Amino acid sequence: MSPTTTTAPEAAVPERGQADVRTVPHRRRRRFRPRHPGVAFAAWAAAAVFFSPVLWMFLTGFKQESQASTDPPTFFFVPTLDQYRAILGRDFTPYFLNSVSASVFSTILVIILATPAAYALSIAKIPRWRDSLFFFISTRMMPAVAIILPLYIIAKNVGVLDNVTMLALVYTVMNLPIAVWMIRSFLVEVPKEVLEAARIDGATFGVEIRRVILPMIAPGLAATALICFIFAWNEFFFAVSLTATQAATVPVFLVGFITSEGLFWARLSAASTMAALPVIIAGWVAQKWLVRGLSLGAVK
Amino acid sequence: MVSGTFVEVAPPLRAREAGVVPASRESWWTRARRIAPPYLYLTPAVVLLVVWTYQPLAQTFVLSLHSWNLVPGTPMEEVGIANYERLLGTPELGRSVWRTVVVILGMLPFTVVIPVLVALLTRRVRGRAQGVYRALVFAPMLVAPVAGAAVWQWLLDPSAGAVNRVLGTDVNWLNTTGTAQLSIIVITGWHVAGFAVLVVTAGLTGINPDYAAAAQVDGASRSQVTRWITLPLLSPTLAFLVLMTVLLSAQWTFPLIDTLTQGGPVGSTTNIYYLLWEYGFRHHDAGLAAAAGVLFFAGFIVVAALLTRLAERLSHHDD
Repeated sequence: MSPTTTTAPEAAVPERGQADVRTVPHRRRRRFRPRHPGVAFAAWAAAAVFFSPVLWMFLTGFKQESQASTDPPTFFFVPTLDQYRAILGRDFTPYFLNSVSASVFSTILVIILATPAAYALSIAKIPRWRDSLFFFISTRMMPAVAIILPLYIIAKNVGVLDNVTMLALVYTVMNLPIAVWMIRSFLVEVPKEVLEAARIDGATFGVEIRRVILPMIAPGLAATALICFIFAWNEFFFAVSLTATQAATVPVFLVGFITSEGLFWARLSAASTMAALPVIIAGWVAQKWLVRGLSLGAVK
Repeated sequence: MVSGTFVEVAPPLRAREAGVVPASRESWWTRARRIAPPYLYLTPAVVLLVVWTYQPLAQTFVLSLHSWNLVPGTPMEEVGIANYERLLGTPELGRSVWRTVVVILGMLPFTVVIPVLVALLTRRVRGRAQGVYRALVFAPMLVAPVAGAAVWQWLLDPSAGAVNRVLGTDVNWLNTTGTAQLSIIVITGWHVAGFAVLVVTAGLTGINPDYAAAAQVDGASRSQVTRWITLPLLSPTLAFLVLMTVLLSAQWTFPLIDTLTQGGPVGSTTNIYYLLWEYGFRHHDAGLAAAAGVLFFAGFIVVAALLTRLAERLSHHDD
């Protein structure tokens, strides 16, 4: 681990070197200021409408049940943690831990598998890389629902139905194509000159990977990992089809809530907020890398 | 060890200089060591994908030729193409395909039009405001679809829901045949738009600002720059979003349909994806579900191939 940590500050330097991206467009974009305050207002209003359900969910989670479904809605109230206590008392923890293991494990596995594959499709370009890339994307064209029955039957026969490891593997497969495709686009952006310079300076393959390539694509890897984590965390279809009681994840827990306690809005909101919390934290932490990582060239 | 260093270092260098090394001068082992590594990097990922997607797909195909109720121990009966005949004879199939088309068309504004507008607008917002704006739009994506479904169930409540209050209407959104599908589309769109905004923003950042600057020097107006430079250069991103929408819309709606309408009322929100799931996991009709899965996949491959070809032709690449 130590080489990675020592190279991190060095990596920041070339990143800052690109920071003229930050200053130059600033000057350029001054001229692009919206001239109509109406446009700005409409844009902000639209964002507010977009965000309001999330905000309302968050607020309702801190209400008493009697305040949650009043007509007209209650805006001012004394916040309470009662709902959160009730949820934690309702065996929320195992579901939560299942979600954490499945998402974290699959995300790590995806990055480990996708990075070498993406390397073979970009820097160490194999002759038919285009076809290989299409192969990866083609597996994503397959509707999950078309393969769910065999997966279910295999899992049942092998005895891994309702098993977190099984779910993590399925999520790995689900996210692998998108990760290969994203990481490849970051690797393509690594300048050939830099690699050649490193080789001339006598860098071995391992050094080249660790000290040259990885620091350059680190924001991209972080962005990819975050996207994969979000997709795995929020995934519902496989979770509901392949798990029952042992390996059920948070989304499955929430569904149980909706059907059994559909009228308890405050509790439902608290549960939903808690379900969203890890992703929000992960997103917050990785936000900086996410935009920079994606703009490294993901979708060009 | 001398020969070892020769084997390891010299051939690759010469290979790079000359392009190819004469086959006679290297053993098959040297040759393998030169060519094999990239394939080895690919292998684990490819094997995993083949085992977990193409192999189950093959099994789906086999299953589609059998009649089976998914109960272990009960015999699978070979029935040939009877499942396909039964499937194509179901009026439900045509309706659900049509509903899938409606969902895809309904999703396009949320995955393409709105994200492009938002990304173009926020490009002009600077500093902290930009971060806040992005966070606001991206937030729904972070909420699990099932949690989003819960919130929207409340917002769409016929008696106390905020939507009826704001619009001044009295509609039972999720339990009326016309509006249920609309509600599902809007909620799914609300959920994925943030991701699309992120993708478009990334695409915009990747566009070299010199083109716009040059056009401005030549006297192009802001809207001209957007129309003739930014949007064409953004076309690969847009093609990608359209493809994603077509392939994944039905999949995105699944959690919402399953929690909010269960395909109803009167089947009005049952798209092909949900129909297939119902065949398998509700009616335990493995053969019919598998047959539908095979047709579904074949249809998607054709559509995806057509779309990628179209996108290749229409896209402008910034080389």
